[in-house]
Amino acid sequence: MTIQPTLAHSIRRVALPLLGIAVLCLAAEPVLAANANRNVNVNQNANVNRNANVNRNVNVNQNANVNRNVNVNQNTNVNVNRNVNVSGGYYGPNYRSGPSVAGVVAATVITAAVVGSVVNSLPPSCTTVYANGFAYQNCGGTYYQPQYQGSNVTYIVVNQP
Amino acid sequence: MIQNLKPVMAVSALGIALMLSAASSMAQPVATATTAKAAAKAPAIDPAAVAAINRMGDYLKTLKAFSIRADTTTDQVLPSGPKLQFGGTIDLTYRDPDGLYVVSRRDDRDESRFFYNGKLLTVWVEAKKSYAGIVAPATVGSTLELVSEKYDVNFPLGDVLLLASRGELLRNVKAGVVIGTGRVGGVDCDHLGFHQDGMDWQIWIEKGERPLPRKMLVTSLSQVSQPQHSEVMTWDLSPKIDPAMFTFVPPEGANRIAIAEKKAVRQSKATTGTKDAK
Repeated sequence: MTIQPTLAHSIRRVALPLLGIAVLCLAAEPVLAANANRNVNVNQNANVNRNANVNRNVNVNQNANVNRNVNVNQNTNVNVNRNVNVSGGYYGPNYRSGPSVAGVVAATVITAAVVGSVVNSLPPSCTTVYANGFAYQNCGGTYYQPQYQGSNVTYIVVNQP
Repeated sequence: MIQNLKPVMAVSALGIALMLSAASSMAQPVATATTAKAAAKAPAIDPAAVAAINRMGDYLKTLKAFSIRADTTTDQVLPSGPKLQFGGTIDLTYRDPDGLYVVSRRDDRDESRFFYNGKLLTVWVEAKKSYAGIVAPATVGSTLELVSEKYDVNFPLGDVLLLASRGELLRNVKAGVVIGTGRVGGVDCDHLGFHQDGMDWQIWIEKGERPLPRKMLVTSLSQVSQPQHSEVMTWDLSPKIDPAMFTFVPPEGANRIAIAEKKAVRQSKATTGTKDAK
């Protein structure tokens, strides 16, 4: 990348015949595309450089996307824990409850399905059961009652209804 | 905590109000009688600010119907420290005194729809095919009072609605000033700042014959990073209203769920939260 133009010029004469090989390698082994392209970049003419740049950008973007997805997942997990307490509410100046602004509460991570504990999402494989006119969720023998809380549906662990 | 509010510090009166807020929130762990007395001596609420709020409240109470489109931002602080911001919109239709329909969308949450028809208040979360409802008092204002006292529910634009139905906004305020003229959505507004326990809040009220709230900004003082919540409002004073819009009809397959009551908040904050009930 940082090779000076003069050096590039001198190498170009030697490396021109290698272009075809380099491109073939690129096509055959996408995983190594970045390395192959870099070599080509240094040595070859403008057209080849452009192609190589495009490939490199693609690779970079893919990496970025992967990283972003990871981050999003992390945030989501954190939010799950937070929402246990926060329940998403900004209560304004008029609310009698006073200024219990979102995020005020120190988060406590619920680790066990204790009756009375609240979670933001259900474990997998739940079935809906009805009692007293309300819908409950039976998740492997632990019963959750969905409730509207803050600005979300949350789930409070209850005894079997 | 002061740097967040620097732009408004230029006004000396609000500066005092903000110092008041800073003093009260910082001094809490070592609160003494002297600091409390010092705070009590500080100038309280600028009568001009009170007048502006009352004028707005009086005007809102005259409105027989309106709709609001609000663009909102809400900060949320992660346990590890970072402060995040989420956007959202609220579409609200109000008919005095007993009709309300609200669609609330926050970027990171399921859409919630609120229906109130003078008898029942229902919230419907279509993504969860779930609705929760309570038997409600006869007016929007009394219903919101009930919700704010009893239920752990964050009612969209609740303050504006209470203003429109009750004209109240200042009952918890300890300091307030007129900051000056600010422009929201290209409209000249009176920009006011207030302080009360745990929060600073600002409001922009349209100048002229329609003293409508155009923006509200609430800053929490109970966290170091001071999360904020903002609402920028666009008003329609002659909305199309179909009375059926205020009544929720459960679709087939909808599940009825509970509505969280305040006592259900079991965490340590619950004890702090009840101090207002004294």
